Amino acid sequence: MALSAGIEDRIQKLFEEKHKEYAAHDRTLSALAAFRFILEYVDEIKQETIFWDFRPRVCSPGSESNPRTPDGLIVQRPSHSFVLELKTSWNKGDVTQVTSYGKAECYMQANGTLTSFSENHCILLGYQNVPGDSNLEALFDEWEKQKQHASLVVFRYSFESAATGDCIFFSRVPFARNGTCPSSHFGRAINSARGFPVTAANFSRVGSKFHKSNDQVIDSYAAVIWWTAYARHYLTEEQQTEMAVGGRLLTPLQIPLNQIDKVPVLPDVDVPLTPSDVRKALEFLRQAGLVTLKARERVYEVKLRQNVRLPASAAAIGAFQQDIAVKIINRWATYSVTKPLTKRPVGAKRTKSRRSRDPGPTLPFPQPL
Amino acid sequence: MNGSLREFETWIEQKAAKDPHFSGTFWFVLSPLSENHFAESLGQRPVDPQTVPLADFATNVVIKDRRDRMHQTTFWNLPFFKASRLHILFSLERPSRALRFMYRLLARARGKGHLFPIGHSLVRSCVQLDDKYEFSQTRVLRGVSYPSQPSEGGAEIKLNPGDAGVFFEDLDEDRRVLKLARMRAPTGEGSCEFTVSRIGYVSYNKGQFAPLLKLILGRLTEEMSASVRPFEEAKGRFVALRFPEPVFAERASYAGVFGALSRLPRATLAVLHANPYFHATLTNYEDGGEFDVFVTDLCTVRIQGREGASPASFLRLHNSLAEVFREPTVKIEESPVFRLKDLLEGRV
Repeated sequence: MALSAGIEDRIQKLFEEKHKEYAAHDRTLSALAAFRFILEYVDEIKQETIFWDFRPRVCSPGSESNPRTPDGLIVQRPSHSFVLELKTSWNKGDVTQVTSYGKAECYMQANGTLTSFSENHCILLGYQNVPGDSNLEALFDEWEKQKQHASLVVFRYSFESAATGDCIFFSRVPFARNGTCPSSHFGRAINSARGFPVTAANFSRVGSKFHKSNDQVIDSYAAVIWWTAYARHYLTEEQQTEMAVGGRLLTPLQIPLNQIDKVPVLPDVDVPLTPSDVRKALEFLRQAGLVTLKARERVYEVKLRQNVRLPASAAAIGAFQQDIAVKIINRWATYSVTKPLTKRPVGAKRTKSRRSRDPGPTLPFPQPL
Repeated sequence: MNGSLREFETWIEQKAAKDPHFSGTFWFVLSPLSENHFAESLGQRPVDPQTVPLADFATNVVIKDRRDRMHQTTFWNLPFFKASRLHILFSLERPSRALRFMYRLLARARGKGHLFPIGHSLVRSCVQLDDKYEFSQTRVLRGVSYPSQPSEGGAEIKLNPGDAGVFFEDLDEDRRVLKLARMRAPTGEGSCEFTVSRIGYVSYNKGQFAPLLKLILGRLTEEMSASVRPFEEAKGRFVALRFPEPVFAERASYAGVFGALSRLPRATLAVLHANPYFHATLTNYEDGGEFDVFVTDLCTVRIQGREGASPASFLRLHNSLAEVFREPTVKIEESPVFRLKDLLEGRV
């Protein structure tokens, strides 16, 4: 059925917005990969680094139950530590978030023990789109008001094409109140006035280790990664054979709601999807018509197949029309406009219907009026 | 074994002499399974070697057509390489007819058996059956090729294109991808006529068979094993497929990489990044292999297989790309080491 031009425009707009968000998220993951690359492959930085963690939890003593989750933590000898946070662009909540990282005094190790940050502590805050001066002023006003011991360094990261190849370029923002990093080799690189690039050829070596940043994954990105990398690991042996022979499941993959917490562990991934990301992914795929929620059976049913078909009403988009990622996002945009989900989201409280309302204890005699 | 080999040679030459359209086809299958497990996975049963000398197992593959008529082809196992990932199956049908049956047979292995693609350089290795004769003394009787990207166009079938030297030179100059070549190579006592297909088979047609068998059991399979070795040794490291020309000078050429990989049946490909560099994630459902594919310079596709990605799965990707962009050289990338100076001077 042909759609009206207005609806087609809405689908197109929604698709473009979502795809833009998807691409921006991938750039953030590329920047994390670039950091990981220089920590592992630049000799002087590797030598001075005691450890790094891209899923850190930071807090102050007494607030262990509610730790903060920045994008990275780098601890270096003799006494340097860096907390890393990457953003696409300025958001009002950034001030609160960044100052809360500044207030944190220690990080939690895997076994839950707390370790204090080093003497020379620094918060590294990166943006793809650098905030305007007024926002930076507000950020540093609040930072100074809190009398933070750590320095706050704002930097920019962007994709560029250079003679050496496509790269991601890091440069400290030349804002007068911007802080400086402690003087480790890594800190010197960030402080460098010229900035530094890391080519895609290099950071791609560790690019596949990031499926998300520590505290965020875009739902579309989670959906695509889950569909292509995680879904296979839920299959029974019989279903694996169905996919190996026909490229599609004859019996749908069922994931009980109470099993979502068991996310398959993928080898070589530093920052994998968490249960809440999987929920987010499945809800996105549900809106895209690739997953059904069977509320009574309390299962998600996944119609896994090697290829994803577009609905007839899907918007025509540019390059890579056959790409699964594009198709999933396109399906999501199309169904979001033409068949938006009306049922309550998973986890929302069921309101008691009149019929199911508890009638109370039954009495052997009619109640007196 | 030598006695049986001679028996096999005599038997096949006699069959060819009786049938002017004879095809005795050797299918090269790459599988991690041992000989017995391989035979078991394909549902092969032990056979009396009198039907096909040397054969130890055989399978009938039956396909029903739309009119419910049954068609059948038999594949025999020739136990030449007991301790190798390479297995040779043999059939007596025309290869173009047997191919469908072969795919049906390999489906039984649930992704544990793949035809070994015979690319450009391996076909070149088949041209000389006898070192006493020059490369160009082999005649190409039929050559099927098609243009590589970014050129466009359909398949070209050349009948009697001439000597092998000129034929392969023209292919290189025109940047064409060879699909199939039927050749007549001079041998000590006459000649041998045979067909080599990129799909993964060598078919004997007529003439002296022994030199062809020597090639199959020697140089060809040795080169096949060597070509798959980087994939066996990859183990999480990047494998770089480097093409002879800068085929990725334009961003639009990423569509060629995407097209080559997305047309793989029973595989899912999602592009994570397409500008400025190319990054896609691919799951091969045939054997569960998972890959990240990157294009970060003008000539190279870099592939990283996750733990457990099989050499056959790598080969599948390699072949699909080679069919579009011509044959790349394959190399495992070493870990780089940089100094801080390199980072600050923009060389990382």
